[in-house]
Amino acid sequence: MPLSPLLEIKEIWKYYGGTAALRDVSASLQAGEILALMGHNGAGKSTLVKILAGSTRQDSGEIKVAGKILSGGVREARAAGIAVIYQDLSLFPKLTVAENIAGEPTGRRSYSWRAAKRAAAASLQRVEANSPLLSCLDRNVEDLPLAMKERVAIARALTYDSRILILDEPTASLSLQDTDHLLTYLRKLAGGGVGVLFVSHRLSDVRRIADRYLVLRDGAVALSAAPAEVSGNALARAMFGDSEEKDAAKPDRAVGQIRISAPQDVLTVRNATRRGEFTNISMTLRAGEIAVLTGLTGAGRTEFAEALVGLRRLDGGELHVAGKLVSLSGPRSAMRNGLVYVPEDRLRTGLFVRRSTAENLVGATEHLRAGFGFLGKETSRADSAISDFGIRCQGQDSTLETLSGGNQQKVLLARWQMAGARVLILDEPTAGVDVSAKTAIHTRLREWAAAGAALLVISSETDEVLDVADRILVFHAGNLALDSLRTEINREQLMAAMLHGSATAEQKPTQARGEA
Amino acid sequence: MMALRRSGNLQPGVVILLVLFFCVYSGYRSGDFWSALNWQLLAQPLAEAGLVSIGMMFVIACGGIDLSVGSIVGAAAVTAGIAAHHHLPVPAIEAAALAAGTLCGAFNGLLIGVFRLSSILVTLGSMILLSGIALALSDGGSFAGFPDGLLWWNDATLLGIPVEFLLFLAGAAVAAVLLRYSLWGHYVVAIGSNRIAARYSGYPVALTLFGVYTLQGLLCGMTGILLVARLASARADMGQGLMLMAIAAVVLGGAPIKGGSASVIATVVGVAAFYIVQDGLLLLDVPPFVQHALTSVLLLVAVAAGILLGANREERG
Amino acid sequence: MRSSNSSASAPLRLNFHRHETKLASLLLVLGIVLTVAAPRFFSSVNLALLARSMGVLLIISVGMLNVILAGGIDVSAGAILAVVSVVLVRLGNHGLPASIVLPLGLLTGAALGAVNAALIAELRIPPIVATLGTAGLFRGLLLEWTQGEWESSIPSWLNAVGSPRWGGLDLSVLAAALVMLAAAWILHRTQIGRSLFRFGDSPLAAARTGVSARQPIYFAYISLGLLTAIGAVFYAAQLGAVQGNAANGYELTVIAAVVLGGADILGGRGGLVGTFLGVLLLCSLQQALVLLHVATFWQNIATGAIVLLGVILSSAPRLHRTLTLQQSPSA
Repeated sequence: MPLSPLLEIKEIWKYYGGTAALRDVSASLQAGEILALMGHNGAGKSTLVKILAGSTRQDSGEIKVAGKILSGGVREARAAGIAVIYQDLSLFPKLTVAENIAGEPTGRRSYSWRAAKRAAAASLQRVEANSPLLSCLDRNVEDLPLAMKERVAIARALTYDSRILILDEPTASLSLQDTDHLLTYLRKLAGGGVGVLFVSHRLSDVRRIADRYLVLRDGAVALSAAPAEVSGNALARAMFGDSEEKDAAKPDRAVGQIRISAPQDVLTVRNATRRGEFTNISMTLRAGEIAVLTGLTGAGRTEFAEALVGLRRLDGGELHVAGKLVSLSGPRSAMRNGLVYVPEDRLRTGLFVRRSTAENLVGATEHLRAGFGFLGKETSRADSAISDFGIRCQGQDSTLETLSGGNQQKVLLARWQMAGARVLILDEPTAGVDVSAKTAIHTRLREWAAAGAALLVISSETDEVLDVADRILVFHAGNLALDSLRTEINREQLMAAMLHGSATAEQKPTQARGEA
Repeated sequence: MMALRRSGNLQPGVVILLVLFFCVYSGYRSGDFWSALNWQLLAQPLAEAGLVSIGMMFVIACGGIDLSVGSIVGAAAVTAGIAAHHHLPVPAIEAAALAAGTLCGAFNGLLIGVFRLSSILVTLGSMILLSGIALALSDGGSFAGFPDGLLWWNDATLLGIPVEFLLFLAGAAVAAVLLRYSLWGHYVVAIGSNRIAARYSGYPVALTLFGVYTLQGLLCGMTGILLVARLASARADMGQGLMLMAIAAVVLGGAPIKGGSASVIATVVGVAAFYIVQDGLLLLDVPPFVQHALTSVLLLVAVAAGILLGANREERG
Repeated sequence: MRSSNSSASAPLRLNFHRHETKLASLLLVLGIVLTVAAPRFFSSVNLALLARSMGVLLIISVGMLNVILAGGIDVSAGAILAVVSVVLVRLGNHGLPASIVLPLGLLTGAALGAVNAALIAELRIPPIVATLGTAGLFRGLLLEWTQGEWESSIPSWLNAVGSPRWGGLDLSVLAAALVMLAAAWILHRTQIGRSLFRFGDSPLAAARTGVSARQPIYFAYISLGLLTAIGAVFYAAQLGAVQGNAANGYELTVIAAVVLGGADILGGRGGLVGTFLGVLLLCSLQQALVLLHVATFWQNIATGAIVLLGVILSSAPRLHRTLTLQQSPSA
């Protein structure tokens, strides 16, 4: 007997200026159902989420929760039981955990910090018994690590009787363990009658818990079906259309003139230690090789990478570049030694979003080639870069924020490749990037290495690790648990190393997962 | 203009339009408006404020703000006064004033660029501090008796155009070149756009910022000399009002207050707009205090218009 | 983990967060210096004078704290102070009773604050630009109205308000205390107060959790206008005369006090205890210099130096960690 749906999306249209961001989108969500919302970047997923959240209004169509039509506004959506967890979490960093979780306006005039603390504790209990956050209620959110922040965001969403939980890329920056945890938890919530809608690029996660897929393409619904009914190909076709982006292997182009003086293509680390973060790490990076550094979140990977370029000081150990002992003090000195660091948060640390694509591509590294302190002509180089690297944008003058995440990442990588970088440390280069761009980036990385560069890639996605690596390094709780060639280990050994610190640890299935 | 439109900044256009209307109206109502003398008189304070505004443009472009410019101008003026009091030759007086300004700017630059302190707070403190120092050095009074060689800056004209103004134009031209074509200019705007990304891209952030504030100090020193030349006296509070004028001019030209974008032409338009409007109002016999009020309204209207126009364009993206 | 400088969710708890402790120690140092150099400072007469001098600044600083918490800034406070002072004095001198003049004055302040709020909330003009504009506008119109003349006599009831009573203190001290209590309650016990923190911390997150931008903005700037008006009452009363150019630049002193008190200029963090200490520090400094018969410009030098010192001290831990590379600069 078909129940009346908890959430009904009926014939939604939304225009931004002249273009339609959403075209006649209809869908429904039952109580206790987990619906995966997927699609290419720009397909309309975040627009739909914004409409459901109440922060944007649709141009036509209805949203109904339990039969009642919503007329718009965040407050009303909240009151109807819709809770949204955004990709950036949208927490208040300078406020306390308790206030973030339970401080939302409830329509009452008064605010009691005691009551807020109590409500926050109760929420946390619901998310996870004996949550470590219970002892952190008075700490500022900005002081917490990312995984804890995620928990705060989830607890907040659950504080006020939510019936519909919407999550936007919730697992994008989570470790394996935390992802497991979250997915199990979502299953549990659904079991309790909550309707879950989550947006994700990670097919592996989606496959594990989704009851149904909803695929958007160019603003319209391309597919709505249960996983069992859909093959991988059908899914890909729904997301990208029939003509898949063919990023065919481009002829091996000369990777720009060498501007950053290349070391003897070797980076050697000996006994690198930083109190409380990592201990006694020794490894070597070789020209032509892609080494992938992986591990659970908090294992010390990013801290290690930052230490390699001098953003953090080592308490012990040495760094040798091309056989020469160096002491680096930041990106500038690192670049003088041939090392380039591309951090994870590309929008915050790598790109100038309001400047043009051309400027991000070429202008950003002009200082490496400009003589007498004066800039040269950017335009032609930018144009050729855009075509060479397959960057989809509206011309080189388009501002960077108009590009999709995948294309932004391409710009970032193109920039360094054009500047002739030969030793790179890339932290999560495909985070938040859709599948086709991810493939393109992987191909690009392989070409880069084949042309003689040495790449150290940090990644949390097992598939990516196995796909791209020539050599795999695993961090576990600050120690180097594994350093071997890709060909010498298999997936199980890799996971064991990540989880237990040793490739030969017993492989038990890691906690019972939800069915399907 | 092409560059302006490409950068999406319509505000100078709006301002120019408003000012043109105003000029036409003023010219119609007051015979003196278009006279050479009027424009000569107008050009001088415009040049002084203009130099400071150009410095402010760089400061705002890199994401900061400088509240101390008025005090630096006063300090430079007082330094010139002391030098003149000791009967130093004109070049020495000028050098002293420039050095004073540059030093003050460097002080700001050190705290903000190297120690990474907040620009609004540091310049708030240095504004108060420097005004106190200037007052102390001048004993609260004013200096007079400047040699003609210094006063030349005010009296000289070339082809009827005051030399002060030509100096300003030259300064603006140099600034434009620096902004568009030099690495340093590129760094300034990038830092204002995304400071962290600039750092990770290997830009010399500390040095660049130090340079911005030091340059501002130098420009304030120059303004100090010009003011002294025009008023033939030096007082610690001479620069009062310049700070607000400079910020207003940069903003009027359409630069975002948070930084990341700058244009010398737009800044010049902004400064010119204020002074032309003020001058016109004066000639229209508008009471002086109302002038002040009206130019403030001009600022608000132009900025609001710029925002509304910009907002419309953004929605489509 | 970094130490937290948390925004007291519990108000009347004596939370000595890092910054307030540093401030208190600065005050302690000052106190010690004064005990040696000018022991007269601690006489009851002088302390009463100090309290009287703090009243106006404290009242207005509370309003500025609201604005800064909400992530904004207001450089028109001096102009508003002047406008309301003149309004009060002129209307009073025209014979209108206090019962009419006072509310009118407060209303004027609130209305001027509302103008700021409207420019910022509705037209999206950045706060510094908007208040720069209104400062010029208000000041210009005021000067036009007064033609630059002084009003050197004030109505007797106003005079009475400003005259010392209980042991040298006057009503401004009482008013300041009441304002602080009311602000404490509003900031920590009402949704509207919390909305200031939220909006100032992250306008995006605030919008997403249902805090409209209008509420904190209007509240912040109107409260500043209102409190400035209250301050104007005591300002005029204490001074005994007003003019169009009154309090020129005063807003910068107010901002300095609030910032010295530990409020984050970017918003979302700050407290009343800190603001109080900031005001205390500034006023004590001024008072001490007067006692030491030091020329007025030394006040500027000292105040400027203290502000710079305060800024350096409050950023010191973060700076030290960054400079010695214990933590990456983006952290």
